[in-house]
Amino acid sequence: MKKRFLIGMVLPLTAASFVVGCRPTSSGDKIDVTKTQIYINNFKRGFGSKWLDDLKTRFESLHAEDSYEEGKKGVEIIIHSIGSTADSRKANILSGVDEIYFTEQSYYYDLIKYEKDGVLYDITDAVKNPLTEYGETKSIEDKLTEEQKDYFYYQNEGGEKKYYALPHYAGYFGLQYDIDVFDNYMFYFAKNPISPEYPFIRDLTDEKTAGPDGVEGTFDDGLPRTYDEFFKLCDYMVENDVIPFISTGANANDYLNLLVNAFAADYAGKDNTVAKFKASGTVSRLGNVDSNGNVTPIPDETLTIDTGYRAYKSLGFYYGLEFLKKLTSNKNYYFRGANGSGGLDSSAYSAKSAQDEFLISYRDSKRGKSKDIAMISEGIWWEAESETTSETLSGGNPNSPYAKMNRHFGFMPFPKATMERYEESNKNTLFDHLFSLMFVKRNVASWKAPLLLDFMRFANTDESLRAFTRITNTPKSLNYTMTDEDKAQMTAYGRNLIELKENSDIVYPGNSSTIYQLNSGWFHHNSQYSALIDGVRNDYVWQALPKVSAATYYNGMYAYYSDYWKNLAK
Amino acid sequence: MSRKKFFSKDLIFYVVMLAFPVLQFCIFYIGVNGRSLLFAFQTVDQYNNATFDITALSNAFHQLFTKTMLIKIGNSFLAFLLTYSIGTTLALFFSYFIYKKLAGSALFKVFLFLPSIISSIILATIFHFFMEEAVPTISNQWFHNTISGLMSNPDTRFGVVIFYNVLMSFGTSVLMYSNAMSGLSNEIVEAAKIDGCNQFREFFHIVLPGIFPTITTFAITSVAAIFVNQLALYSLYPGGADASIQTIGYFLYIETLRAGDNQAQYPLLCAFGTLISLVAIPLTILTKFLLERFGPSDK
Amino acid sequence: MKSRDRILDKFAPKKKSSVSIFSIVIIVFLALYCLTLITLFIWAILASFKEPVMEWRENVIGLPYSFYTDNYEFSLGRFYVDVTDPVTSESIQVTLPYMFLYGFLYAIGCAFAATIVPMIVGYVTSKYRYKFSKVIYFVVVIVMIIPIVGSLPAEIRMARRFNLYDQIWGMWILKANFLGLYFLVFYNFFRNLPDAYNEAAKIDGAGNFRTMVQVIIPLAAPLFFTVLLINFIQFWNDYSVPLIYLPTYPTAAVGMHQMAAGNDKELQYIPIKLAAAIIMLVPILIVFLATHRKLLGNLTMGGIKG
Repeated sequence: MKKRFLIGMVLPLTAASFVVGCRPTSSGDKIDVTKTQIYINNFKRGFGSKWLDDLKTRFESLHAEDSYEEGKKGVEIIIHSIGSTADSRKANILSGVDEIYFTEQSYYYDLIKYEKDGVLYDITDAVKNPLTEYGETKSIEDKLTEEQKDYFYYQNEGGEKKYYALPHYAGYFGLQYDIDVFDNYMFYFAKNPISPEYPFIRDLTDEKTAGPDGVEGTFDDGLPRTYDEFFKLCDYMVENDVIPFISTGANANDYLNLLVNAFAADYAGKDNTVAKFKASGTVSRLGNVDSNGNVTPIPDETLTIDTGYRAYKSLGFYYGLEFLKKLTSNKNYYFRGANGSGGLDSSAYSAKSAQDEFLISYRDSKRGKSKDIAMISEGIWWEAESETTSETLSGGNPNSPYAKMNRHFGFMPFPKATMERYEESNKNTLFDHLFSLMFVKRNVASWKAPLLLDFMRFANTDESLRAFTRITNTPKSLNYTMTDEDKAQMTAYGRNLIELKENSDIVYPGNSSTIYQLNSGWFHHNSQYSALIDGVRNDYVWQALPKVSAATYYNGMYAYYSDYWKNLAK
Repeated sequence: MSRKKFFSKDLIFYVVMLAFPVLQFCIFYIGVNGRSLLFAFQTVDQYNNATFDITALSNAFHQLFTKTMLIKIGNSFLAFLLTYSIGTTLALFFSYFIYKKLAGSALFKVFLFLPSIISSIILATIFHFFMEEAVPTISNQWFHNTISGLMSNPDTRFGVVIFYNVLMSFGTSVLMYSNAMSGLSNEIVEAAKIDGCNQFREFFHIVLPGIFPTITTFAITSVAAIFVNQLALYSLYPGGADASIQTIGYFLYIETLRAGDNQAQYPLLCAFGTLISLVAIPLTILTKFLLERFGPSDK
Repeated sequence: MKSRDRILDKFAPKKKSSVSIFSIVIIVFLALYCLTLITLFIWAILASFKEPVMEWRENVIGLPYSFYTDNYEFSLGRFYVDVTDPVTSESIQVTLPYMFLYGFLYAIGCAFAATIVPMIVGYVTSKYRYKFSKVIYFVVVIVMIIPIVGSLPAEIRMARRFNLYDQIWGMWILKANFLGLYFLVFYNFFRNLPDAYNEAAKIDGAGNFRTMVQVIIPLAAPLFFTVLLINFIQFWNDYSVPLIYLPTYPTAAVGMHQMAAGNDKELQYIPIKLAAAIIMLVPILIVFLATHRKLLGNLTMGGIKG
């Protein structure tokens, strides 16, 4: 016993001596010592890193013969794919090896101001000078929208204006629909229905309604224009043994907040939506809703920094909530798993599973093994994210009907809450909620900075932007045009997104107002749907909406934010 | 071993032995909690400059009486009552079983201790998926009854969380109780048997009073932990637990995690902690007093 | 010697253990309890061998269609945490062997510190009856019954100030306190130990320190090991403290936490997550089954007085 006891005493002490210097030596980056390295940190989620591999290949070959360090020739790009956002790694950015970041859900002003000096490099010149070396006359700044310029062209305390980051990919949330399923079942509204009871087309050649955009001959013809039509369509789907939509249960808190947010923004329109994030400007489409759901409009108001919370009277929120309430209160409307063990009702049902099911059910329904699913509640990254499942389904055969290039999906333009709203304006509004950034870290070596800025410029040439879109089948949030040749290499979904982006107003919540600068983390999309219900704070729509009405939630949101507003830094 | 005989040598040894533990205690208990208390009376700006005021304290006080927080407090109590009453009753029965070395007790002992040795994150992961995926499938395939996942269903989730906590609670308590039982004097137990005392009576009249000090200790630690107990919610719901089932312990842990190194958030959290402690301390002392006053007298 | 005792035990006449209704009720509960655990484990093991996309959709509770081991292969490959080396600023991938090493060092050191300190303090305060001993006992009891909530932020600050933050040995110091149940366990043990041991050692001319190390501590060895093991297991499984205090030394439990909370594409699949859980489960299960006899004896704790 004594011996073993001694061992027990000695062992930890011996162990102690091991601790010092006990680290893996490196990440296993095998670097080519004859080249200059650029370290890139990529947030690895839905959009993947294929686009970055492409960028790497092109940039490396472009500079294969150039020398940046004595005795070295060429550039080697090392990519670190990371599962956490730059915002959550703020404290490690300056000490870390990575020099360029592609990230999301990162708050620009927080990064600029982090521990006084921030973590971002001044890229003003790289943004403002025309991209002549790449044969373009425009500068990167020219590719930004007015809203993006306002957000990214930061004015520091000295009154100087600087660029510290650029927008990266775009994230629009909504209902994505399976065009193949819609076509099979002819889930389109007819322009001249044979009877009011049967408003749908009976043959694909039948004339369809003008769709949400009100223009005939566009991609959205025959799609539901209003909530009424939408739910009529859902009922019709159920009659046809098709499940209207699928959603993750594991991420339901986030995903359904985002869905409501998307519908809310579309109802309110771009200007009204942005006004909330600035606490200034005139807002319209406000209203009171009583507990029975009766809506009384409120005259337009002008927001100030003290009354910014009045933006929560936007009827967009009410109608967004109302939409979700209707969509989820009928259990036939959503996928619940073969055994009730999946979909929205299971907090174990991941977003990935929902994407897979959406794709697989199309094949299995043909084998009588499952029902078709018409829509998925997702962000535009979903198709890129579920690529491997498409490959499994097609067995790698590009001619398979299940191959990615042979499938047809679309982003469903938002149906409007009422016919009046539809007639008032049928413009589609998209909300870019991802706060996706590209930046160079502040403390890079001065000899290396020009190379890194060059890479940044290269990544924002039209050629690189188009390559991103071709590969991910999603648009970036800068302005550039895809050629027909590009489009031919893309999926139907990718082409649909380009068309959608061109025809929509896009809400970019980031802006330069003081209140936004001081509270940008708070204005994060997910923290914008808290509500006081029976005096209890509830942060997620999905946690309360099954139990309460949309009106109660809507009024609870106003109650919460009108009280909370005083706590914001101003 | 009287004090007078070996005064100086003993004292030096005594001081040397205790120096480090006491110093450690002063820094990491008194120091830390003192600092925490100090935070409760401060405001920290975005550059981590602290100034003294009672904003945090008054905000915390104000928020403590909102329904949002009262529900968390209520949940903490309810969870304590349920897990303690069910958990302890079962634990005592089980301990008795093991103490009596009834059939299979060695195996049961291993099983009872098993959850304590497995990382909560592993067990919670398995449990979560089982309740959400397997249970509805079983219900559907075997009983043709479609139900939703038990942990997402608002009607069942709190119950399931309590069930999980009871399931995981037996390790140390059964160990301590059964070992305390084996420390009971054999003569009394045997004498009772000769008097015709059956197992039921033996349990309630001899064993329970015999190990009452141990029961008291566990009761006091459980009461003291009412507001620290997170109910394993962080492991069970990686995506965040619903507000209606959160406890104070979970809330404070989550908020601290969220605050990260943003010290501006600390004062409010510390103020909450301080105020909650003001409730918890008298409660624990009262429990101790009541148990000692009305429990079976100790020898 | 020991094994012979055990054999003799077996043949010794059994004490009357009449099967009463009372014990049947208990056995039913115990059986239900065990059944629940067994069901959970068996289900998880079966599930971890199911193909995660196509098969899992339709086969949640049945036997696996085939013995699909890719989940394990994937989990093993995915078990790493990216950290930034604070000295070289290099990005490091901490792989499974390192996580096990860090987990082991963290657990063994903390367990040792959290066992030896209460033992020594327990011994000294129970055998040396200075007033201060009473104070210590009183402090332990008070701390036990005074729950202080929400002091984590302050503790982090303190750890940073003493440079214990993000150091494994720093955690050992942080955990080297005498507060809590195990002090009472040791105190109880030493108080019940006859003073004769000390006095005999004194007569033999042993000093205080020698007495403690050569006479008393060996007597307490079984208890020491039991507490050490329990502490070890607790620290080994703990991910919440290392998650906050050891950002660049992710332990095995932290790795598991990252896997469980991870949102990567593949990590969203239940069979893969379960495979990861089982990989983490096996080593600790082996340790437990090898040591449970030692682990499950020895511990007794009295009441709190003071």
